[in-house]
Amino acid sequence: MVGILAFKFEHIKKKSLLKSLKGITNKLCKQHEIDLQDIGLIVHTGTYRQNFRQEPAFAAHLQQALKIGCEDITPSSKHVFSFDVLDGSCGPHHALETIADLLPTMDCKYALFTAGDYRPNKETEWNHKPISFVAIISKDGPLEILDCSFDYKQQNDFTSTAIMNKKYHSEAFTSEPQITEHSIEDDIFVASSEWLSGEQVSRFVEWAKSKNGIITHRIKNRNGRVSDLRWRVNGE
Amino acid sequence: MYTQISGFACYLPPNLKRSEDTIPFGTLPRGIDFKRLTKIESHHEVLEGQGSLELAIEASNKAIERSGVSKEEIDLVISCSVTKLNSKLQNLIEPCLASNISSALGIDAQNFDVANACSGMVTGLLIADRKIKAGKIRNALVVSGEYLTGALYEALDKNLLLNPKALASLTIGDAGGAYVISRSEEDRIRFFEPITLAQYSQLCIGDAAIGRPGPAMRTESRKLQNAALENLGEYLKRGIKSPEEWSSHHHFISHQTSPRAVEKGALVIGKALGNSDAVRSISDTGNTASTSHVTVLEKLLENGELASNQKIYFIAFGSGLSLIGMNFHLPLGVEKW
Repeated sequence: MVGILAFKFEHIKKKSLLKSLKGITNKLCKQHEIDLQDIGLIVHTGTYRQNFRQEPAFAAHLQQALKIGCEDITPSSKHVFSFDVLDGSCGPHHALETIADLLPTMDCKYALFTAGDYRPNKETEWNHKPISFVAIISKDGPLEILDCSFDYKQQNDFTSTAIMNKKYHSEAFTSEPQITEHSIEDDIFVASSEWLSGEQVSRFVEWAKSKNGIITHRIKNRNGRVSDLRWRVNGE
Repeated sequence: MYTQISGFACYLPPNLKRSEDTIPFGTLPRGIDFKRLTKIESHHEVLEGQGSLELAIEASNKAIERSGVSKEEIDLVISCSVTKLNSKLQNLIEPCLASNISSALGIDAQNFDVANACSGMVTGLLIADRKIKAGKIRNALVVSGEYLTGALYEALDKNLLLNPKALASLTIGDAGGAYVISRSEEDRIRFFEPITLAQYSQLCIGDAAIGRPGPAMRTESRKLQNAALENLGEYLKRGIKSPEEWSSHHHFISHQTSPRAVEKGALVIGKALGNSDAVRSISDTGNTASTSHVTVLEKLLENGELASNQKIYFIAFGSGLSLIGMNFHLPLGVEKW
């Protein structure tokens, strides 16, 4: 019965992703009187990180910025577990499902889910206007995560690769991306393939919060991978 | 519903590099001998045309075959590589590496990547374990291909006296690793509390290198090692309630930064719970990041030291600083693999 209890998002503009997520997490917790120290799991998703960083997980940097569970282990110390889950713009679905699988087995009240991207460096051609998104997930949140399904049968050969040449780290594509326009069909919210992770979830939950019953968030990303996440909204 | 490890495998590319050739005496500042400092004798490097994907596929094929699970029965593929590099040291961004691995293996299953540095594979196993126990999947392939040695050569091109944070990059090697985790009628895997000590998250950073293809790693080794060692004993004692419980483990495998570091860990373990004789380390692969535990398992298998039902304890350390412990019973028939 794991679901989103509260969420917040913003356009990152000129801030760093880390500063943006730290800021909106603090505001969100204050608004909803949530104690940051009750968070025991942080899962981040996104495609682009500063300078194509590979380690540590972005979530670990965020945990440090939020100063949660940052003390050495003692017999009674409380801790947090942080890592990233990635799959292009379908990443939010895997990340949310992972939280839904892990949180009920953990000794903590909340998980923090974050999504967002950052231009890797000035040399990377990048036309996105990223949004940072945070959600507090609880074992009884009103936007309940039900189940996920995936269809990779229409996957094409579009790939994105960071080419690290001598003076720049650019991004190269092998073929034209498959574009899916945003649409709403009854209770299915079909996302645009051009949205990055933060926009994927923020647009969906803004639409979902006024709905009732079972709804679906469908993401078809640039290489044709399709992911459906079903939700039960507002207890119906 | 319970889980079990039904297959595992490591692939080491047959391109062995001896430490004295790669990092000869005089490379390290102040007359320090690399081999004496770390006890790393050698490491493996990719063959021409190999990258993270190819290393992962080699290990996966072996692990799936050993598990007896058919590819049609695999419902989830999680790739846990720190490095997602092709043979030209280009970083694969989209689709995720797990997608490339699934396609190459002919597995039609949910797939995604997990990023948790050197703790990635144990994190992937934890996620797969929970999905199996929730009844969502039957079997999962948890896989990693670590093409790391680009960072080693990046470090060798630096003045190490002026760039001491590059020194840890000299300890690394390439490898592929894979596990198949499956449903079980009895409880054969236990995970201990996963922890990220994020106050140390700046001590090891892997970025794209500046001015050349491939990765660069910058590590404050001494601080990171001290943080890990200072927390190891308390971590183990939180999960293991008695020395008797601890001594039921046949092999204890920690993340392999270097044999010298594992020796230091063994002293901490001995002091905390005893049975430090069960600590295993290897000197011929270097630090293979997320694949380091399965690399040790494969060596033990080759040496005839593994037997059905033996109990193994893994402790994963990763940049972050993450710690995850797990124990499991080896699959029946492992000695015949």
